[in-house]
Amino acid sequence: MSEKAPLLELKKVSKSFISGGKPLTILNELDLTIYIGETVAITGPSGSGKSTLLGLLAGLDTLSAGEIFLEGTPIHNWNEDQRAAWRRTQVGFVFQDFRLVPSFTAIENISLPLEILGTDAQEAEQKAKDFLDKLGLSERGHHYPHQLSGGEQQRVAIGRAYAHQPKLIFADEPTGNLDPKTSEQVLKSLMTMNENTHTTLALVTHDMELAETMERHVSLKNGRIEQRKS
Amino acid sequence: MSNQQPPIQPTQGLNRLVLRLFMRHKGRMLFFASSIAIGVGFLLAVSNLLLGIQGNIASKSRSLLAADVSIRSWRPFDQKTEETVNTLKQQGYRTTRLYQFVSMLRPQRKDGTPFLVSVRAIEPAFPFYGTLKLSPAGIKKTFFASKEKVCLVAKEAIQTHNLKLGEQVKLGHISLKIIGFIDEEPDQVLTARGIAPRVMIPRALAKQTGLIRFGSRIRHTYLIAAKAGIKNTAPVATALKKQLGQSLRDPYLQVLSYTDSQPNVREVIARIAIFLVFVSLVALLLGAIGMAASVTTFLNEQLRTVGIFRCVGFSPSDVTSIYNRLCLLMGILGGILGVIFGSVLSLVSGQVLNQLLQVGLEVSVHPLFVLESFFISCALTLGLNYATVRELARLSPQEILSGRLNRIQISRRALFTTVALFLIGFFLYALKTAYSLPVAGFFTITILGLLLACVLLIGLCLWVISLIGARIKGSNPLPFALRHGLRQLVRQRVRTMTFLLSLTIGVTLISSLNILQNSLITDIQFGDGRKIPSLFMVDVQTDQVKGINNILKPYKHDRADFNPLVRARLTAINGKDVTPKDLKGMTLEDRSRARLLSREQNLTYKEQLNKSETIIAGKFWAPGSAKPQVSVEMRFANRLGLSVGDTVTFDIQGRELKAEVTSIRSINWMSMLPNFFLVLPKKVLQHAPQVMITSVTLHDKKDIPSFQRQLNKAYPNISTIQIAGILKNVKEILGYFIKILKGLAWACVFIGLLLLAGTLSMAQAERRNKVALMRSLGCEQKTIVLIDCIEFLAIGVITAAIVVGLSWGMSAVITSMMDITLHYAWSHALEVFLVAIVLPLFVGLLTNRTTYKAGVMENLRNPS
Repeated sequence: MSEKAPLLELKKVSKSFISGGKPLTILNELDLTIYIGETVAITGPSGSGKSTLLGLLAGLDTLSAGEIFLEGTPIHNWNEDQRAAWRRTQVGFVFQDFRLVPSFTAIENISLPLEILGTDAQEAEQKAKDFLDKLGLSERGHHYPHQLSGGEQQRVAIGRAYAHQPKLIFADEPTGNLDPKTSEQVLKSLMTMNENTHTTLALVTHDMELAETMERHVSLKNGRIEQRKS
Repeated sequence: MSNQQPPIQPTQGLNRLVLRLFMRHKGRMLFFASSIAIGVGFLLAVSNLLLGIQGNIASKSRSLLAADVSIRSWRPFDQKTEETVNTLKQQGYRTTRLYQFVSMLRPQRKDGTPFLVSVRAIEPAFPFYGTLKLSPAGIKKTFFASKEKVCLVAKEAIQTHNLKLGEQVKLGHISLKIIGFIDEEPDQVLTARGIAPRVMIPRALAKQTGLIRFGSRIRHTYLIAAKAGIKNTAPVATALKKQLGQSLRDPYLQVLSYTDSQPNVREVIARIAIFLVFVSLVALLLGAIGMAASVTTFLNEQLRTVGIFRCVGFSPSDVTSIYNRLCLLMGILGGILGVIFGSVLSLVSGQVLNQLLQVGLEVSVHPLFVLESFFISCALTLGLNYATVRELARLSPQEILSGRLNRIQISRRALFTTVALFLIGFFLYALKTAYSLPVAGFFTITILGLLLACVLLIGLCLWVISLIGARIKGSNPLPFALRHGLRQLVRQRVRTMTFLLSLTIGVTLISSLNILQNSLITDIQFGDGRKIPSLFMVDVQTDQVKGINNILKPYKHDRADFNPLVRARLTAINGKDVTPKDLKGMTLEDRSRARLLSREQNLTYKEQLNKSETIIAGKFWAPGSAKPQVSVEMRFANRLGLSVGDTVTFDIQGRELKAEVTSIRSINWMSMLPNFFLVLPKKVLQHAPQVMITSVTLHDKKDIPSFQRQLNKAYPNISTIQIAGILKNVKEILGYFIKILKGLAWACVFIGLLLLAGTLSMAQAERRNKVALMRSLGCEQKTIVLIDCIEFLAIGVITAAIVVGLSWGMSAVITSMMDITLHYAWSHALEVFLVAIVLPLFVGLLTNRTTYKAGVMENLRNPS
């Protein structure tokens, strides 16, 4: 593991919210490093701050204290435009509830990050079709999310996450809304896609079995990281 | 022994649940209710206002007539009438006689320019009821007792013609001293802003003016009141009217009791009411469509809740009951809001009308209309959502919870039935207001046509936009934003259709009214490109024509054509008697026809048509024809049901004339040339008793006063009417009416914007989700705002494009129906573009501002 170079480093990161008029600390001086090309599972009980951590890692939220480095470069002081540019080029997301745009077809949903990146619409569409092929959904390209099953929707979401060839994928409980059989198919798609693209994967899950299949497993407890497997 | 539980009473539980749902979604319920409340409020306000106006007439009806019964005629009363009135006097009835006519009043100072006045020659007994308020106080006694020749002048004439107390004025052949002003007289219904202010003279002086002579337009009136002391005179008035109607056979007589006073005003109000109610109904319709579409979205969101309800044991009928009750609550809330809005509007508009028209109008909120508002609101929320609720209750909970079903599908049959019922309701309401099948049918078909046209045009625009969107390539932020902004608009078809419909209809109405107003005013001002005459001269005797031409000689003018006017009565059509009948219970069209038949007709004769006339059926006679035939104006013919080949019989001063309809003419009335509905050949009519009317165009406006002075000196019997004055009045009245209609049309636009804001708010969760997703995928904030701007701008462009086309089409139809030229100002199109483009953009961005402000995580965590 130590042979790999760090991609993202969190140093003494804290995150607090005001809840009921009082400050509530979710993450407390947390240290975590994610290395290039690794797959890492983040587990923890409900409310332990897993999603908050993912939000901070992805630059979706700002820190209360601490530092974050991207390949050695401090990024915690970046403004929203800089963070957006980083996400646009290097980050992909898979959400628990898929978060497909309901009024877009499967192809359009997968094309979206490519278009945001500035890829020509036709080229983006072609790439989206290729991804659908790889995911075994080539027949479903022109279907809208409500016309797809939960498993199919999540596979489209996986296609969308990888479409622009990001360096890093954040997956927040990607099988949380699926039955075991569908979960298995979706995970298979996710892991295959990840292996083929050699992308770094940070996955938040409740599923200990799934967590153990990742190269590394960290657990959140009292706002800090505990190494479970390295 | 079994331990029996009392049976469960689900009603109370359901009610609690309904209330909980209502409170949980109170913001949305308020939005649904507001959508229809505006239309309901307008209907309530219009109904209250019209009732107030009619009540104003009814409550003052005896004062308005100044008597219990009146006998009127444009001809001197015959022997029989005089005897009948004498008999009534002997029986204890109070009677008084008056004359009324228009003439010219000339201040006898050096620069005194004659002006048109409405003269009333009265006796001391006038009026029996109502107030004749004069100033200075006590002047009435002097007025009748004075040995001098005196008159009273309406207050408004003091300012407009700079008159003073004690000033000498000339009326006909006599000089009168102004000894007082008329502050108030009994029979002023809405306004005294006439073009001819009132002048009162003692009846004893009337004949001395020389204006009461053969051929003059004098209204002779007997006012009759019940014996003094009788409080409720209504039965006396009704019985007397009946008795007089039976005993007085003179067809030129009109006997009126105070209970049916001011029928013309009532008729005008009824016609105005139709327009106001129609536009209010359009506002209600748009709100109702928006409400139904939004409630469907809401019910779609309720699918999971319904799935759970069904799982915990609610039957489909329970679900139907829950959501129908929810709709009923929405209706009640809509009714409450509508009644509050409508009541405020009723009272405010009453005040405004009082200030504008100086009438003692009392507008109150009528309980029956309040009930009607609640009924309409509840019927709409229940009726329009019934099919969706029923379908929602029928869905299988298994299908819902498995996620296979995410929207309610209503069958075409149910949709068709709902629309049909809605249109029937619209038609019945229009029928109730107009009391006319053709009018109600016309309005229903118009609104259906307008809706269909809008739906088709919007559909077409969305299709074109989807094609354009698909063809936008490129990767810069602008093509990306364009592609996504247009896609956003096209893909949310129902939502887009709903608010586009309201916006387009609202802005179309405003734009059409603007075009119509502009066309009317332009036509009035410029007379369709021709010069409008300066003056009308009426009551010209045939032997005065030469003299008038001599007076005109020194002035630069266009040749004045003198048109003979023969007064007659229509007695039969195709041999069938057309004696007036009781108008009560008749439809609008029948009443209108009956009035037209019974009124005095003005005939003329001529050998050739003037430039404003065109024959549209039959053939106009050749000069010299002596065949009794008549050429009828197109609309007049339509209203009487006359066509070429029919025979009409006239009574001309006691002599019968039967003539065949040989041609139908259309007239460009905006030419302002003297025109007649009924024209006969010269040889047929030239020996009948007649007067002349003419219009004259003086090239220099400054010549008008001096010409009027000269004419009045030479021929005091001739009345001149300044056309500019009439047109000013017409413009003013039109302005009021169009302003009110525009106010209602703005309500339609407001409903469209409310629906835009409401539907955007309702889809806020989806939009927040999308924004969060786009941001997490690295899309910049400004690009997201740009996408929305493009969507809202596209809404504006579609609205504007449809409105420009539709309003032009509507105005073209209306102007052709009104025989006026369509004057389209490009500033209208610009105005439409500004309203249509700026407002949706502003409202849309304002509604989405919280979404833009929220951070990505905030939007992801709290999409609602």
